Amino acid sequence: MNASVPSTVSPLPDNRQSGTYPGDTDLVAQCRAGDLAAFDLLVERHQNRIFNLCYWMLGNRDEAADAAQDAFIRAYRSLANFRGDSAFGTWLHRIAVNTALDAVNRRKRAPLPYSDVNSSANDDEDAADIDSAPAQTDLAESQPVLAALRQERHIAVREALARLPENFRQVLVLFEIEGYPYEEIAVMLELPIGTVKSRINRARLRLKDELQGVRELFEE
Amino acid sequence: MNITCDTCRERWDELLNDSPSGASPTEAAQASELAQAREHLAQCAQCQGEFALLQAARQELHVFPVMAAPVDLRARIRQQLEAEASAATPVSPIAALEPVMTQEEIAEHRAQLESKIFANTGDRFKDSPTQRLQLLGSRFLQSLRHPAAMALSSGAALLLICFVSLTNFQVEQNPMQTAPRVAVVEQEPADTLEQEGVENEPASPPTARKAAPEHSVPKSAAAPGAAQKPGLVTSREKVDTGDKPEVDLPTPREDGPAIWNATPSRPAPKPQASLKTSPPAVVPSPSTANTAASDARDERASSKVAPVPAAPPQALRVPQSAPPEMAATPAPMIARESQDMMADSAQVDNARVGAGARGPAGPSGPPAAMAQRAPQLGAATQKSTGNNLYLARRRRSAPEKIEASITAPRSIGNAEIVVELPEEAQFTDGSRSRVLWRGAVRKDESIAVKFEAEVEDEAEDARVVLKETKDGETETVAYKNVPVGEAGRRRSR
Repeated sequence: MNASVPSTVSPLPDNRQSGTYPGDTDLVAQCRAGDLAAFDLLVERHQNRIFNLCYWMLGNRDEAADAAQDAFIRAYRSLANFRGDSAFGTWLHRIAVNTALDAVNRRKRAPLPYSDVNSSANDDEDAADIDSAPAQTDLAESQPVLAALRQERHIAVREALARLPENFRQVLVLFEIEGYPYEEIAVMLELPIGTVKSRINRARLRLKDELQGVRELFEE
Repeated sequence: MNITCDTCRERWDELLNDSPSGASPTEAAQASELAQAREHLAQCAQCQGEFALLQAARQELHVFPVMAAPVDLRARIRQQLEAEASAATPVSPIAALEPVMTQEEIAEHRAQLESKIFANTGDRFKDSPTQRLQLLGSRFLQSLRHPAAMALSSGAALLLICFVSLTNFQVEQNPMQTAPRVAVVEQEPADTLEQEGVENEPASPPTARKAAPEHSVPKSAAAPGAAQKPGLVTSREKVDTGDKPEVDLPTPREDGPAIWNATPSRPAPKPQASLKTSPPAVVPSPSTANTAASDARDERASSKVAPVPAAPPQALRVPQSAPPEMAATPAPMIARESQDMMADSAQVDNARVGAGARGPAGPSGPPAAMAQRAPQLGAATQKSTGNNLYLARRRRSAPEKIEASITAPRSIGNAEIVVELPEEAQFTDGSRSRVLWRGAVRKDESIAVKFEAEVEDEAEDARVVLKETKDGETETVAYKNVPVGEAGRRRSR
């Protein structure tokens, strides 16, 4: 049976309640058998990272959501081609990177400077910063000046990142923000590891150059 | 070893990774060089500042927030996948109606068919490919017993018929027809229109005017006495009496196809019998002609964009200005060509008259060029009437992309490659010869050229000629015949 065309749709299993957490490999096997619920679990497991990747690549929440959705759909259609040479997450990230690049090429313009992030995460519950929002709130209450300075730095780095060329931005997002090692980035981007390293170095230098105008923000 | 700021900058990547905030230790850095870079960094204030900025930016990247995916992302993905899954289910009502045959039934059916097919032929055709075709055809016919299959087959046949009909109709409604020009032509005064018949023609092949509406024929071209206009006759004779042999324009006959008499309400112009033999009278001054031409050009530039609805196909067949003697077009001509071609031939004739008014020095638009090329037409074309001079050329299709290469037999310093098209082909600007390349070529070097040409189906080969220009003289060094058109492709096969 073609894995991309499942004929049956089973209800979502709640594995967290039952205490079973099948690995990605098992879920992929179930997806190949036409189990859409298994793929739904994979989506739940990886959606934040994929969305995050798309978001920092594209700089826009709506576009990032569309790209993430497209990436998952592509992945589902291509499950038959997944050989398991790399982790499913790596393979999925590679698809997401390509999808985000396609989106960038489609719009053929500079990415938005993360304006919806600048507008404050508190205004948009979807844009919730699930890692650092509580800490920032505490900091803003205790040391408002320092919190404002950090916010300024944050915005400056985001805008500088948005101004970077596409190839620089993607390696910085994968390495510095997503935290992937060189090897996995090389697999995702299908580049030699040496190229990845040198590109990351050049991307950092370029980012530093972009921040020269707001250098005072970073001087303690 | 003294390390510079640039050299130190190259090591920043490793220094960063070595720092407490780095993700992983360095892998291949040589300890000594790295130590030197670290030493330089400790001494150089500029490098210190930039490195600090880089570190701060990197730390900022590390604390970038993890953006939560939209809450509906998962649901959207699932919804899309479910929709695709449901769409993948066959929903053809015909498929549902069609009786399902099991493998055994199919095998039995096949055996029955084969027994019928080979009942009277023995084993003669069993191993031949035609036998399989016969079997296939028979199976197709047999499958028509099923109502659903019959409906499918009938539908497919109807679709094919509709497609062919539409294709033919679109060929008739050639988009290059000059509907927007029509209204202007009709509004022009008679004197100008005679020029307009030429000036208005776009740089398009004669076929472009194949399906032009009846209005596209300038009234004046068929107006009584129009052919006797001095300028027209004189200029036309200039064209026809050049170095080239004069075309024997047949005298129109009185008996003709009924198609030309389809508009009895139109006033019939006077016969145009004097076209060929009328002597030149008064040659108009060039200034007059130029004024008319410029008027026509201005008019075209200002108001020709106004779209005029294309006339229905019936109207295309009978130009309103068709002179009565055109009704004398020989019947065999009509039998050979479709009726709509005659409208075009009338236009060609009128355009030729207009081109005569412009003269050889006039614009190089297709009508003028056609009129000038008229004497070059082949014998087969000359069998037709003067009104149908270009029927043989009408079958030009859309520009055909042609590629050819020619090998130089010797080294040539000042070479050029010329493409000479046959009578049945032309470049899009109406010319038949064009220099495509100039330069130097070595011995045995092959040069490929590409060009586009409008080619009739039955066209002779084009010729790619390698020429050498030396001491002001050009001589042919080599040439190569290139098959063009449908006939050419057949020949090459």
